[in-house]
Amino acid sequence: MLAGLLGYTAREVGELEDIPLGTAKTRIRTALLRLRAALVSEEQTE
Amino acid sequence: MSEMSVLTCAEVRELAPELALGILSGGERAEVVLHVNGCARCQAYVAELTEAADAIPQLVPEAEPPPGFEARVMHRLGEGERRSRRRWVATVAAVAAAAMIVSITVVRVIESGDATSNDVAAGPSTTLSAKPVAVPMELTAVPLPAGWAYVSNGRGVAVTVSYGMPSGGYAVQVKSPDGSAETLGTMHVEDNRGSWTGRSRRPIVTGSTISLIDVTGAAVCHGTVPTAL
Repeated sequence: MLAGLLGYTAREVGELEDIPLGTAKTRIRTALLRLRAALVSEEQTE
Repeated sequence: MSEMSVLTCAEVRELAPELALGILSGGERAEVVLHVNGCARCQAYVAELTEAADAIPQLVPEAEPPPGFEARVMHRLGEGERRSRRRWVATVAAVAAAAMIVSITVVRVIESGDATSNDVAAGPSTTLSAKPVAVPMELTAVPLPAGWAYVSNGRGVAVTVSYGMPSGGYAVQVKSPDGSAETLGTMHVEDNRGSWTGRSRRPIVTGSTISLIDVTGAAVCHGTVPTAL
């Protein structure tokens, strides 16, 4: 869950989603890294 | 890498995504920035992530208000004597609504890649899914958007308003379809803006009404939870 993109902090995301803070941070990190990887591969195919 | 920083490169890399998204708390942010200033590799890593974070708005498909939205707003506003001001207000409201649609789409886009881990066991048919459900909040006095509420897992609630709300404290209230009401907390509004996050003790279902109640007990804005998507 990346409500962080709405400006929510990891703590607020954790509260909102009822998940531990660490899990919220992990999900934010995973999502942004995944997005980064997707952008890089898109650049390479262009 | 940097001897001056108390954080290691590994710790900085853990926090870098939040720095890139601009959601790191002040203390952590200061420590990460201190490290990054003295560590070229971490600096490059943060720059890459910031580039990705900055690209997010461009990835969102264009979202337009529904057909006739502007015409309906203008029609309801009428042709009163404060026309020019009202036109401006309508424009702000329309832009705010469009911006929120974009924001929600961003969440959906990002979420779609991580949906499987969020799936929960099927509950009663009226229970909302794990994905956040957007609830448009409308002013009670005039039919204009005040902001949005988001409900996730049927219990997590986030409310954000950006228009038409007098400054002050508001009780965040959820009324079930059966009429029972629960006050979740207090939200503060200043310069028309305010946000609140928290949880409901009882499940929020389709047909539940989320309201912001002012000190006189009046519901200044409200929204009804639609059918879960």
